[in-house]
Amino acid sequence: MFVRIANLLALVLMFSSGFLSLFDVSARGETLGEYWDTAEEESKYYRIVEIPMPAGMAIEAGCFEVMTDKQLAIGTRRGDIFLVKGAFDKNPRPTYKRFAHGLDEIMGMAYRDNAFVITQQTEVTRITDENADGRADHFRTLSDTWGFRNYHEFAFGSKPDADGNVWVALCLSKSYHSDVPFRGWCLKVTPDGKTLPVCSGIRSPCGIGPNEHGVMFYAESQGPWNGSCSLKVLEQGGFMGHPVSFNWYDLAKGMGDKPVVPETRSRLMIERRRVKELVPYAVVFPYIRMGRSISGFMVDRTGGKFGPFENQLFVTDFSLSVVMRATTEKVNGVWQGACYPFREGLATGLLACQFTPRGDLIVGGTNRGWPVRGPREFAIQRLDWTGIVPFEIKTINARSDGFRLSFTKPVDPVVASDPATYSLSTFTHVYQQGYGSPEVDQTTPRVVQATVSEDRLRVDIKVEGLVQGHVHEFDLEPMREPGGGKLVHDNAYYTLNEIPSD
Amino acid sequence: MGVELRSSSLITERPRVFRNVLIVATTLTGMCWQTLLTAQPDAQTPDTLTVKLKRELATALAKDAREKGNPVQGAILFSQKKFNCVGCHAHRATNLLGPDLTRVGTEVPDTHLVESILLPSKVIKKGYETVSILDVDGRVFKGRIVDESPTQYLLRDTSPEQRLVVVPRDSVEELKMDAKSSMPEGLADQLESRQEFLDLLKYLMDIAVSGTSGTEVAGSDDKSGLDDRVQGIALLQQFHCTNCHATDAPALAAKPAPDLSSVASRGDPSFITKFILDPHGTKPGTNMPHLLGRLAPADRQKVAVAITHYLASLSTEEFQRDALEVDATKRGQQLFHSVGCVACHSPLRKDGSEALPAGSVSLGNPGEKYSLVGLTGFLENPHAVRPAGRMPNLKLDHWEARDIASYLLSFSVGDNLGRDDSDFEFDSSLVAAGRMHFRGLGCSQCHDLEGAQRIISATPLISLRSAEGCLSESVAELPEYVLSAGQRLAMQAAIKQSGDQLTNSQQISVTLQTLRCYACHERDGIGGVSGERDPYFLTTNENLGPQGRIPPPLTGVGAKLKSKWMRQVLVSGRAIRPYVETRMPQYGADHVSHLVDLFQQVDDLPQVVMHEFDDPKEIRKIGTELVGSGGLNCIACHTFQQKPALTMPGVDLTEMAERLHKEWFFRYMRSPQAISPNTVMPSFWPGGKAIRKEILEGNTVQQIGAVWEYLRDGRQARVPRGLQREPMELLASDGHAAMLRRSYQGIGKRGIGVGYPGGVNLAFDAEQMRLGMIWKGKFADPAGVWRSQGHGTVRPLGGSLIRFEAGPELDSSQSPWIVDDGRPPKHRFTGYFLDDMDRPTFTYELGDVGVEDFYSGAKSENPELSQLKRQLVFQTERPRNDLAFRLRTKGTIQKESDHQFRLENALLIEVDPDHLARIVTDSAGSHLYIPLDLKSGKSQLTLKYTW
Repeated sequence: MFVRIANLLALVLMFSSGFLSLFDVSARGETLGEYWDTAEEESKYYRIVEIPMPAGMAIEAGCFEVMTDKQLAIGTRRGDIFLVKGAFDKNPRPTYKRFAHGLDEIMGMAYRDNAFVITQQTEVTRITDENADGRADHFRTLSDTWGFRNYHEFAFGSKPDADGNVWVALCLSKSYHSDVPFRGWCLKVTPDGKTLPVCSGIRSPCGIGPNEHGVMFYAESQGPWNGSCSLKVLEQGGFMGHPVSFNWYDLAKGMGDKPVVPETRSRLMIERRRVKELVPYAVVFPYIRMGRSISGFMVDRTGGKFGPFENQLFVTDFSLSVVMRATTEKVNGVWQGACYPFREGLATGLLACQFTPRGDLIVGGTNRGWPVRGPREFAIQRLDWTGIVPFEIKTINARSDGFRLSFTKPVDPVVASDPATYSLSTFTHVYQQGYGSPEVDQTTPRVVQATVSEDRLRVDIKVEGLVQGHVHEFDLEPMREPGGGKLVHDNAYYTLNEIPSD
Repeated sequence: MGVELRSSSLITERPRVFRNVLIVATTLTGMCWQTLLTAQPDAQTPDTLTVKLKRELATALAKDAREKGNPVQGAILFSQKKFNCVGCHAHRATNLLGPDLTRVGTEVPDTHLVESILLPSKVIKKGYETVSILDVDGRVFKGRIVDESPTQYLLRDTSPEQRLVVVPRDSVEELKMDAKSSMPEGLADQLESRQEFLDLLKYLMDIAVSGTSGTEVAGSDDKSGLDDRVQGIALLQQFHCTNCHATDAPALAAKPAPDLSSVASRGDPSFITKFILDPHGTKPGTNMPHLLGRLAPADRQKVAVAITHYLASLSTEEFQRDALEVDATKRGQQLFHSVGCVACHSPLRKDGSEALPAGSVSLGNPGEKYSLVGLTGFLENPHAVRPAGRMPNLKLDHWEARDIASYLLSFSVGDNLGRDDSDFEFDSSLVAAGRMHFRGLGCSQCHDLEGAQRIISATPLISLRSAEGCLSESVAELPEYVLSAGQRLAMQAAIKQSGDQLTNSQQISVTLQTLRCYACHERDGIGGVSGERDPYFLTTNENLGPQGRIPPPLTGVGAKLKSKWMRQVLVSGRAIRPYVETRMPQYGADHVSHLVDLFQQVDDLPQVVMHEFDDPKEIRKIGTELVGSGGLNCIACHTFQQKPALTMPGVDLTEMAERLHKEWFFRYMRSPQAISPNTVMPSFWPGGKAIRKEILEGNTVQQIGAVWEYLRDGRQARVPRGLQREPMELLASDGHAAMLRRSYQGIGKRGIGVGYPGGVNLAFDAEQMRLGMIWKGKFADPAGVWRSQGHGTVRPLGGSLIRFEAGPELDSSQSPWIVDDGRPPKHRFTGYFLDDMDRPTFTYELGDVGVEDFYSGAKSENPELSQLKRQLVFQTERPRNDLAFRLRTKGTIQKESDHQFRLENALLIEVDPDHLARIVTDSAGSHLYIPLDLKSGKSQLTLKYTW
């Protein structure tokens, strides 16, 4: 399908920049940051339940799949697929059975029509057990239409979309280059094994799947051309921001010409106007404050079994061992949204999450290779809602003159209608070739009015000084419930790519 | 499953070591005695190390030790369990079998140290002689007299347990001095080499003078115990006195009483009636007073029954007994006696009776009271029904709670066990009367139910005449508590002073007393594990000595632990000592969180000299060196990133800085045993002098500072040199192949390694569609791809590796052979399938030709050689004669017969008779060339690789 790539420089460079590209060599020693210090309070609402593993087994989860109401499947970095019974039980004492082994960093998995479709570093594979002995025996390569010459060229695959396509986000070579075809691209693999290009410009993905509106997104990591981790929409024909992957447009049918190369040391807002394919980040996760390498995510479709956040995205983080929430909306044709702290103190670096049929959230991963707060080499844990509704900012939506904030429980009307309850600040990043970015162009908008809805679950705030393209950081420390209760988390971050017209 | 994983680094959790409690009790100490017993050489064996060393001059050994001994290695040896040096020579201890070796002083010559190891009985230090006492009953006690009085001797006996034994003087028949030291002979035989002897000796030389200069004192000398008032306050809280006798003093506020809203589903209603009728008889030691005293005896039964029905009316579920599993009760027995239950409750005998009733919180008779579900639920989350927090949450998971519950319910008492249900029949007509009595008798003074109001009509606490009323010997119509005289005195003292403020220190004491923290922890000379309960404090690793099993003392804990960490331990259950089997339980934030600030306020940080560095980055490097095996070798004994060291699982280095105050760390490092007498941690700066003199010019403060700077990196700290890792091996198992897709040397990233049963292995290149290499023996070490980021390659284990050159094997015969390692343009890998031995058949396509490539190990005629049989199947719709199959290694190739070719003078390739192979030489060298003539449909090519 494409020309032979002779890469004689297949030397493995021990660049440490990340699975997920946590940081580059120069940044080593940067801290894992301060905790939110909310774990104790969070534990009242979401309990961490251990999913024990058999002694002596190393299970480095890279992805999960619910097979039946009783059975969980785990794909691992070490290339195993485990079938697990009992992981959904209230008091889990699961049994593990190895279904397949010998695969290469399984970072995406779905079970459809008696077959697993997995994404591993080398390829998308359809795996079946044709003699029905409970162990995989057929491994059919659906697509390996991408170059793979460096260990850091990770591949993350979605569960199939409505048409059965697996979307694969391909990490750059050594996380800085695009040495072989389609590094830095998203490809779509159809059920019959056709491979179609979607977009270029990816840097270091670590999670891919639909947002709450069913549109395919991926988790991008901080690094060159990325001021911070973010969720981005995988737009057909789009450019995700890192131009090193432009050299594969010749191989990509239907993608048109290379986009204009963006200027370095600019701003995303400015370059969006120059580079028409450039897709701005939809939800920025401010560095360290909201994760350091966001990873797998999944939409809560539990119908309320997981608490008040139905239809929101739950996003894990590898470095900080935390789970966060995000919501997205399309404004003026552009995706944007907010992220919110949710739960910290998980045991290892999180790579993936999965809602269970009972409506709990399984998370897991490993802490190998990069600095991670969670102390354990690998772990699988579950977040169970205790049934008590936390007092939280539920969603933030943009309005033409400010924002609408929804809460999980009624607010104290006096406090909530006081504009002083809401502190807003904004910033953006330098859009640049260099690694990451400081937060720049800070402003402090003023909340001039806060109108509380009748049911006291919503507050519309009128803001003077909204800045298009900036992340708007909310601090609602003074907010109270009528009984005086405080928010579990008083911060949230909205990425305002577009300001809605009325 | 085709693969056997062999690596202890894969172990997620150290298997819990359960032992019979009694056996442990006899083996916890004195290990070296037993190992020595079995290590006695017989006459046939070669000379032992002791014998060899004895041939040398003591002066020569001492000189060598001074010059060549490595005190850091010596320190590690000193602390190892197999020598048990610390068991008899603990720092600052005065009543052990051996002297404190840090107080040997300078006047003792080096040769004496040599001799005391090799010839322990030659010179015995005065006061450390072993005596034998024969008493009038004919019993013999052997040990060291550590204390004597006009009436008795206190003996540290030489049994493995090294007990303290009191022998009354008037029972002594005979006392004689032994010529033999209690120091074991042949200790040096436990060492690996002469060098180790020198190391140990050098360490002893270095520490010999350290104790004489140390003046640091651990804790206060006040051993007088808690004052009456503190004990009294704890009792006032415990008995909920202030629910009736109002007080303004918050410290005296009653703890909440048990929540009874579902008590009749947890507990047998028949038991509830019995308990109300006679609380003290039913559960000795209960806080619940007898309240029916004011009623006529004839009415009491009726009232108790009515209250029971009232309580039953509040429960949504009926009481139900479940059958018990025998295995669960057995597991429960072990858990009960190891996780910490018996710190407060009595250990139980086989029949369920309490072995240590004195000082224990009585369990009553759980089998009579609880259902399995009820007790399990209670143990899982005791605070849901007992919000006072005194019964702590022991961090049991559901199944552990169920096991312990099963055990506690397994003791058959009366006829309750085996009965399915209570004989209780609910009668709703009794509920109203029950509610009335519940309130009228004052039950609702303590138990919140249905929002009943508390009536504060009794005399306020401050005005109580404390020798009267409830506290008098005869309570008449008042609630009847069973109190000892001491408890009465204590409560009276507390009542008298109830107007006075408590100091911070007293507040701490009250909490430690109320929550029984003193059962496990010593603070300022009060509390700690009692001798009789000591055997129930177990460890998974005995190398750590008592510190590995005894909860840490709390003396000065506020100066030791940072407040954030302390809160995580107290409130969120964080723990760093997985080897201690007793769990630090949780009491609930409401009951313990105040301790965090109090400890920080009361315990002053030590005054120490610290050092600030100009270049923290540079000093961190030195710190890394010190922590590593080339420095002080902390890594030899300490856990790193939750991976235990092979010697012992000392506290995790990457959590130190998060836990500890810097000041405390500086003080501790200079003299660990002065602060933690139980520790096996040696000092690397004995007497304040650095053992490692060449690093930072031997400056003690700077060295400690460098280690601290290193530790401050916490979870991100660089891996120090010398971190031991278990090797990883991925092997074929009996009857199944092992497989791993990953990078192999000489193959791009799309390698697929296969280890076949029988010891042949290969790596296939799924990018170039070629056999990349073959080798014999063990399959592979995956560490290069399974450790760290996975940037390495899978390393073939075994040997006789033969590598084939790059380029696809099957290609057009018209074009030159592709010899780079890139991706060929027309080949397409399509996967593989496994047979029932997990052996793969690789499949790929070249244009419209499909290929299947299967390998199996075969027995060669020559047993020295291995054989791999390769069967290729080509499928094409139209006939093709323009394709060829090619093989090349780096070395030579020779034709041995029409169908046999020798590569690199080692590998014999046998081509099936249907194909004519030949050697072709091109610009890249020579290769084996097999032209193919494919008919429509399937064609085969079989190759045998023998080497």
